Amino acid sequence: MNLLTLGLADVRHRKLANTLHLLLLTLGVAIITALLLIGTEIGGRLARDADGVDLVIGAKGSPLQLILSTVYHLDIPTGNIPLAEADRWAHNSMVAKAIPLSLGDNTRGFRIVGTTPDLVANYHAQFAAGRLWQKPMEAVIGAEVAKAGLRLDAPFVGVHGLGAGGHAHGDHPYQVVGVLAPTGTVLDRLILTSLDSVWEIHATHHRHALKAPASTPDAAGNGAVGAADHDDDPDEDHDEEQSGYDASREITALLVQYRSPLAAVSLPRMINLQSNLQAAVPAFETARLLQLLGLGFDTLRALAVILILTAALSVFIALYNAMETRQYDLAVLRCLGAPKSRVVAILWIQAMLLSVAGTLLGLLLGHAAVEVIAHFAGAAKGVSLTGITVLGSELPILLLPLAVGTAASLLPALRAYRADLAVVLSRA
Amino acid sequence: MLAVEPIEVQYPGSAKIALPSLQLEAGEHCLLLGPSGCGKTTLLHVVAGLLKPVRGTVHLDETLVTDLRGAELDRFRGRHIGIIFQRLHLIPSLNVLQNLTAAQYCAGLPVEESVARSTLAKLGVENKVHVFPAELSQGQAQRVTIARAIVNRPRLILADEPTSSLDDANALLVLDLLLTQARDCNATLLIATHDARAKAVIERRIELGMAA
Repeated sequence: MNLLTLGLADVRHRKLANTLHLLLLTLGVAIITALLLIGTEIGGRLARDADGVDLVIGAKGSPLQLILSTVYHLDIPTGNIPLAEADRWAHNSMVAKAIPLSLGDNTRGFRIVGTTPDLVANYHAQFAAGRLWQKPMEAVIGAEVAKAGLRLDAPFVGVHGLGAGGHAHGDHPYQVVGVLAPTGTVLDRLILTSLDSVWEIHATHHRHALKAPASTPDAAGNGAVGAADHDDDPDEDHDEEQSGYDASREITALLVQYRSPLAAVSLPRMINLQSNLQAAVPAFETARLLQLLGLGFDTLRALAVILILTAALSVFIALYNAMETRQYDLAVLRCLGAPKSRVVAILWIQAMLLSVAGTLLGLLLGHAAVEVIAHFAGAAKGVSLTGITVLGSELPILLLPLAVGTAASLLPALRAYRADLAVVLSRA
Repeated sequence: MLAVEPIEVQYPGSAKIALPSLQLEAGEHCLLLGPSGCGKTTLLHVVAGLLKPVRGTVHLDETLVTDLRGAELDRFRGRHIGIIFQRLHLIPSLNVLQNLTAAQYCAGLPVEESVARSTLAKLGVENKVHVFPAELSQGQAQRVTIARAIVNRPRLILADEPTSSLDDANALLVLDLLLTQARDCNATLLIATHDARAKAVIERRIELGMAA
């Protein structure tokens, strides 16, 4: 027999009502938790992926598309740019580091990215096994690619396009020479190789392409916007590029790191004005994207707050209503010798039992929901979510039961505290 | 043992009620008689320290009950005064045994289930320990209430209309139980009642008139 027994006994005594209050509180907390997890994980992932990339230089088009395709590897690229022109900017005095990317092929849905070892260094990736590529047709794979079944020293064939199901470059197999440890970035889902590998494959195909008549523009049926030319989808851009440059010397984009923050002011403007290229800032485009999504997040968050307030109100009403009958019980406890403070403590404990249970169940449910969502949708979209993690920003949620419980028990407790025992007892 | 000096009580918004003085020796029993509304319950409440009189004092042995305040008063009442309410006021969310151990706990005494069980046994309801009050018959509930009042072996037992809803046989049974248990604890028993049947069992009586 103690305060907890007394409080618990009363909670149990009114099972149905208390279960309903608990449910409301649980749902409110679960939604807030899930939103927090998803928001933080997507936001954190976006930030990590764009780490060390101040500017992306690529073909003209939608800046958001350029960022999505080259930094997050979610969208198809805007097109290709001549290496010579990209090189000009790479050697600009305001540029500290420039990493070229050449996209166009995939295997099993994982993108094959022609680049330089700088990309691996940029994400601070460690090798789980093997080494960097040294010759054309050697490849280094990310952790998730390895999980999907590609093995060290095993050969694989690139397929044209960025989605599964394109033309296979069967005569040019790659060799896996390295496997990266998980980085928690987009790197985990990429297959890295040298620029030469990509050029080599597409140069061979380019010769076929020259013989084929230019047909209708590519409908991007398989999402193919190639690093280079391609026999399946010759388009007008291609023809222009072919006339001016060696088409095999093209890249998709250049990831740029500024030498000083001052570059942010002038470099993007210079590129956009003085060349046929486009410069897009990941930080800016990501913010724009989150702002678009933010509307949805904010609405859900408001809904969750309303749910929690409703639940708090319901716990409050429950406690307050229970007081009508509870006044006698509490008066009896006082008659039996319990001081006022102890009676108030019983009420508070009762409220805390409900709100702590509601909060913990809500946290659990929120995490479980995110894990379920991650299971069904997360991996497929390239943004890996997980419910099995604890965020620092969840800590304030733990304070919630304290606030709700205390607020809900305050008024009834005050009534119990002020109650005139003789009056309460004779009114019964 | 119990000494009540003439007392005046003021309920908010009504006239003062004057109540007579009262002296009882240890183990002496007394009836408070009078029609409904004459102040019997009020006097019990004052003696129990549930109601503060505007004038007058209540002594229980050396303790001036009317001087005690707050938690001190609640503790004193819990330890030394057993109260049997007219409405039994068993706590519905606690089972019979817990209703008794709650009395031990609230009084700040060690919770001893064995004491609670043996007290219930004295009143013949030891087989109801895990039953909740709602499932008890009126007679069983009354016995449990008496058990709860005496579980801390109080010096003073106050009973408010303990027999009003009972038939003759049961009324005498309850009075007999009260007397037996009071004697067992060597406690003073003060019963407020308008029930004439009680007069057959307890000689000492104080008649309260209608409040002036």
